[in-house]
Amino acid sequence: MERSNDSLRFRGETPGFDRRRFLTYAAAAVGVAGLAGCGGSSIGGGGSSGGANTLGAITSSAYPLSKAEALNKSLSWPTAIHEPTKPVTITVANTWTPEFVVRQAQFDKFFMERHPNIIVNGQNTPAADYQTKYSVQGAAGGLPDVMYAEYSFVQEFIQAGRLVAVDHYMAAQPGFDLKDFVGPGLSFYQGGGKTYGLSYGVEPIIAVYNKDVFDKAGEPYPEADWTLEDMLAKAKRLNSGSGGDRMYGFGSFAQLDFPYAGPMYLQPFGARFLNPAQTVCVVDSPEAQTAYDFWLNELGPYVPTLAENQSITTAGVSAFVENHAAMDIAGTWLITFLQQETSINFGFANWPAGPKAHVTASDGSCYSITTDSKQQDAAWVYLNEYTSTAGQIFMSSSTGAASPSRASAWKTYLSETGNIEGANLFLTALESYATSDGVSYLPESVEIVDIVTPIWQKVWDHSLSIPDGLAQVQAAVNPVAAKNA
Amino acid sequence: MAVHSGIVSGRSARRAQRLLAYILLIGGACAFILPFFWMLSESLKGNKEILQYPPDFFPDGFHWDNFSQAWDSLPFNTFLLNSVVIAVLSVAGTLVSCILPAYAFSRLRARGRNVMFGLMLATMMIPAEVTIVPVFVAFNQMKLINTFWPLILPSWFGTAFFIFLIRQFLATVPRELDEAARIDGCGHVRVLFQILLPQIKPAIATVTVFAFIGSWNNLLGPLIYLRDQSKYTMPLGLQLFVSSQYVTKYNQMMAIALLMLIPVVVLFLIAQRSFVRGITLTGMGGR
Repeated sequence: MERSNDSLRFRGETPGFDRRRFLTYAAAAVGVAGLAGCGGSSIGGGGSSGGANTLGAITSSAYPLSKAEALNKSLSWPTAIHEPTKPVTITVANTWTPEFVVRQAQFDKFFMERHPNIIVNGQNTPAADYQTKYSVQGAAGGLPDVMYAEYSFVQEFIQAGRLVAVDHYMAAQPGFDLKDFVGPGLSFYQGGGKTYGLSYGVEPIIAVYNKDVFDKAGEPYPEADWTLEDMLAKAKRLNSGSGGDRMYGFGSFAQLDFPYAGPMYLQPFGARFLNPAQTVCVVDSPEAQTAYDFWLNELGPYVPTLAENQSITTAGVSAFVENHAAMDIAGTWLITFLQQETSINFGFANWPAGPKAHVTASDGSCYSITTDSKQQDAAWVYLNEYTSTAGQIFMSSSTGAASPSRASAWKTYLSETGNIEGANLFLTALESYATSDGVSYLPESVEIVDIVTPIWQKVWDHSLSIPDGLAQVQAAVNPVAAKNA
Repeated sequence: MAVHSGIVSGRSARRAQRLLAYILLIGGACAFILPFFWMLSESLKGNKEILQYPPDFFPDGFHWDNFSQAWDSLPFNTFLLNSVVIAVLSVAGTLVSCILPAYAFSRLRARGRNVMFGLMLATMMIPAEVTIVPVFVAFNQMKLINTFWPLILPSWFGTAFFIFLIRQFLATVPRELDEAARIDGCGHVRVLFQILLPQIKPAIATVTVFAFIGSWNNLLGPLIYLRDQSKYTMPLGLQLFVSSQYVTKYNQMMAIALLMLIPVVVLFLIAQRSFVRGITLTGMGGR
């Protein structure tokens, strides 16, 4: 039966080309045009050229294959022990950005050329979801052969028995130099006297400053031996403005709900957050009150308040990168970010010394062999090369993507990051005053941070006093910290 | 004159009410559209504009190349194809596996029907986090890890909420229609597909949209089960832009997020007609 306009109206439909139909077709057209306009790589491919691999392209404008080949040939790779005599396949889990995964694919390609019997299947997982994915796979017995792990969650895998102790491999490996690992070395990745991971990167915390703000105010740059009092004085003098023109003297509030709070904010004053075994919270002490009196009451007027911090920070970036702070805390991750994403004229300074100690935090990441691996010997060959001096130069130092954990790879790292003034201070920190002691990294550290956050936010916005806040934190954290035993 | 002034004041009051209604509706619409406008604005900004404060809604120059750069940085064509395949098969499985038990719960009288219905609803209480490891173990033993099957097969075994939704909608359709069809010689299959399904198009459309959105936006499933990047889906591809260690290209991330929205919006616009038509027909029929 022909649908007349009358019958359409009876049914509630508008005859002809109605607004809804127009919107539908318009959205579909825009979508098709948008998706077609974005096309570049064909379905099923990532524009790769040369060797098949599971990570996609092995060359890009940022990491051209020819340059990578030349670097690969110039490096001295370690001798392999337990080289497999027949083809085996190992899986390696990483968490790289889309641009950097090309570099990983290049490493795997050259590794497979050096070791024709080892086939590498790379897995790249978004950083935010990495721990979730491999915690589930670990519980279900499906971990890859080699996996990346951060200081903050590696102990979860160690204590669950999911990682292989590599001490016997290290002892058998010719020329393996444990002393070449700087800073906290392998301390994050050890348990029960055994080593379960080889350090891949370290991140000491120092200070960064905005040279233009200092120059405009006629303020001298920080000295190498400056102290917290010096920092406070500079923050006072450089703090200015209001609203959108506000320039904070220092960009970060001294959080207690922060794994690095111990070495950075408490230990310079002779206080601690947890005891060295991380089983008891000892923050309710006169020294800790002195420390937070400094950070909250003396420096407090020159840093963002809780509400200000929440309104001006975006996805974890700070007032400093938004060009609203004269100084801030800094890790090596900030170098590339500041160079590529901001116009800030920045420099680095030592983390200032406190009245009782000169100490700062260092974290790190490692690669480990998992107990689910059926090819542990081949996995060691990969792990050893990846974390060797040559491997760290190839992956981290030559790209400036991360700060290496081996002292022998730092010279290349410093030159590749443009020999930025003060960048060598990261290595100075690692070799002298950066520590893992006091960094909260055992499995209960996540829950500890969750417990401290609501209490410390009240202290931050002055609705709870420092002594009361510290007492509440200690009482709340102790039952949880005890589980670290 | 008094009547005329009354009519005029009545018209003025109605105009004022209409104006107020429009102001409220426009304000509400702006509030809802603002996040999408911000996404569009961010996606067109250069690297150094995205973090500036105070924020600027209008980019200095339109960086349309953010879309192509983001799309080309990863094999998003592959991710898109994977997402479409999984979503289409999941939706098909959902419809098949939810319509049949909903018909049974609604129309068939069997001993223990209500108990079974209650048990089915009770499964909605179990959080996904509880079942994720045993389900992974099961698929691992079936050697289905790193395939699409763990993402498609569960939808072919029913979803409690959708079964409930369709069952409730079927309950509003008069049984007289079934009986009339039976008298004419229809069996269960023809009653369901030729008599009842056309009556519950709004419910079908709702289930289709929700099932599509659930599959399209699913991150945890592909994250856990897929290992090869060539099998990744759009949400995983988008997550690869987010990095806690290095530089995050927020403008490109917004560009991809906008592109991901398009199929969902198109599907909703297509399905929206069914909602309106169902409501209109229901009103005209006096039911």
